[in-house]
Amino acid sequence: MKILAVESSCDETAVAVVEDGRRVLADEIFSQVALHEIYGGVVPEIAARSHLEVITLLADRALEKASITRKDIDAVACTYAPGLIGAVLVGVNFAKSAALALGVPLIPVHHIRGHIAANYLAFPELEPPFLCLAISGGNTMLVDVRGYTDMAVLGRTRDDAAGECFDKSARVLGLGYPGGKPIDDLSKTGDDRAYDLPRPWVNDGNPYDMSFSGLKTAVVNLAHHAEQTGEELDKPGLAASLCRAVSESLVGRTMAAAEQLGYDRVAVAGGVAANSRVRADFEAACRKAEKKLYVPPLRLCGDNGAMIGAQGYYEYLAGHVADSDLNAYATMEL
Amino acid sequence: MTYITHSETETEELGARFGEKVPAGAVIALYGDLGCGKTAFVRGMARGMGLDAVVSSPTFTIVNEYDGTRPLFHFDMYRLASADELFDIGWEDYLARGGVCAVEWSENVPGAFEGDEIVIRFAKTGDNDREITIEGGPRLC
Amino acid sequence: MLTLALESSAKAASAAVFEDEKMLAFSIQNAGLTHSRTLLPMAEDMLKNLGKTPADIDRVAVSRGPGSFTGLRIGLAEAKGLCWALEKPVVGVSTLEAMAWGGPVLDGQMLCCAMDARRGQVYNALFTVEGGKPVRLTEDRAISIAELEIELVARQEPWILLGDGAELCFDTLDRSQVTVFLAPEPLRVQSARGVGLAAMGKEAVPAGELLPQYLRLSQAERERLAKLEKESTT
Repeated sequence: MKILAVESSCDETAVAVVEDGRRVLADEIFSQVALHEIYGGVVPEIAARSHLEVITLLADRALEKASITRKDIDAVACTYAPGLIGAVLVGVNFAKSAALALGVPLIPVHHIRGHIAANYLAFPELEPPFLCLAISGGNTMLVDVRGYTDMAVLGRTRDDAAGECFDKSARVLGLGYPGGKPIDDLSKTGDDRAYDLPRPWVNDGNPYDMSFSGLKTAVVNLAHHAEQTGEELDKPGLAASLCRAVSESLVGRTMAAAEQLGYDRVAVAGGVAANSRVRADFEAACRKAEKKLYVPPLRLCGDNGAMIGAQGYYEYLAGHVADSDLNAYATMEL
Repeated sequence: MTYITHSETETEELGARFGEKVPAGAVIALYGDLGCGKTAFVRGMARGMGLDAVVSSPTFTIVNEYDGTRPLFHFDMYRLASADELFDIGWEDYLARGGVCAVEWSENVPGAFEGDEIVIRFAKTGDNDREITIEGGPRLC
Repeated sequence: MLTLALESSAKAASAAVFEDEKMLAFSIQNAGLTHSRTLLPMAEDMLKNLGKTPADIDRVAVSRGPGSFTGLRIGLAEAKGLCWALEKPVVGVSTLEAMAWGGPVLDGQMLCCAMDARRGQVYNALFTVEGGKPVRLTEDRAISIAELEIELVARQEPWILLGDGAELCFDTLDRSQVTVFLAPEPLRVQSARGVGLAAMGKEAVPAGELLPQYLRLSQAERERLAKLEKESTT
């Protein structure tokens, strides 16, 4: 079954063709980073305009790359939540019209479920159940993946997402936007014990919930303090200390949850999975606990259409299809 | 009406009381320096409006949208250089969508307002003390 | 030739199906629901009732602005999705022109189409009617009502006001200087009927070339260009 998949929830416009949920025939992405760079963050209106401008071009390219025609498309899948509402609307309305015109099923896909499904593309042998940590610029959640479409959120961030913490820290360090990669690069030459940063720990309630705003504030305060006193900031040291603090918070909880639920397979998904400290720490922790770790290659960690096509296949098998009145939503439970 | 708060928590609390009563479609122009409690106030507003949302500053995205029966659009105009950029961020569209628009750094976008906005001024009167003046809008008791 | 017309630039969303110049079906929704939910089902249901399928569509006509940015993008994304999938072309129509076509097109009549752009401004275009068809007197523009009044007075004709800005103009314009009438309610605002009529005889383009006309940008662009021009001459 060949699924045309559309993703437009944030600042990436993407159209992919995925066969049977596992084989990527095409995965076209247009990144808007350059458009938002001058603001230092994703401006919703600008994102929505750009999606509309490039979406048909990407769909054309996806067919070409996949060497198929429109008649070969068996279903159309799209991200319908969560995301910037104006941005998601473009993908949803394009996708549902295309599905109607082609006379094929329309499959709504939850963006985070898509991120989790990126693992199915990278690891053909991986099947639920497993534990997955989904970490991106907008979301941070620990998910019990019981089945392809049966999931439970074990814990989530109470405030900022992990990626947001990197982005905002990068700005005060003058590293530009998006902040994940420059922080990662800088951290490699730094001492991860240079600064004693608070561990984002939530003391009350759910032990798997996380918090990153205190960590972000600590970095911002350090930078401002250094500016005011004229003190030289050890930027590589601060970047390394930040990566360590984020990583320890994520890895510790994930491993504890895997232990509690008796999972021997742990997957990581989302843009922050690209962080090399997070990857290295997960590798070490899983080796030690004798668990198998799954982290998709970089290209599949960021937003892409292929992951929507992968999850879309399993949503279709579960009977999750929509009519032409499908709407887009800014927020939606997993 | 002028209010004195002695902590960020109190500022947020005042915002929550304001949020409970603020009508849909209201435009709230917030004025005041960095660190005066504007974001804390809006965080309180979101809670008062019954929105289950984590409110953080929209400095870099210009606007954060919080969905609900009365949606909240939280703007930070600090980085806007000209009135033309109001068009780029879709300002008019937000006005037409019937939500509550809370605008930090209203100083930068005088052209955004039509005279029917609720004005809230924040002043720092001590390390943690803030004087918050609300002109127009619902009466808080 | 079967044309599907879509209109989603303002509060109401509407869709219409045309066989050449004859309107076969028309559907409108004005209940405050998002166009993202209502517009496509209206098109789908009409086609079904007409015994047709989306594959029978020869082209799609859609209002491309000015109007609500989000509303426009819903209509345009749907037009693009349909046309991309069907490999059929699309016609983007000015919302103001569609409004004129949907209005009282009596020969010799002067039409003033206006959408509220806030702060005393309207999105506006002026038309006259010849041979039952609106003929443009101005481009689409964002203009203050005061400036508009000067133009209307200068032409010394009675004007019919159309659009969601019609009442605003009626109340604001100095009616001792210019004679204006409000168009009857059912003909006053833009609809897919006007979009379909306005698209007749217009060239259709591939879906990828269809772009919204947010309008305010072109004004900003004009100002920017004027500024650049001024800088280069000094």
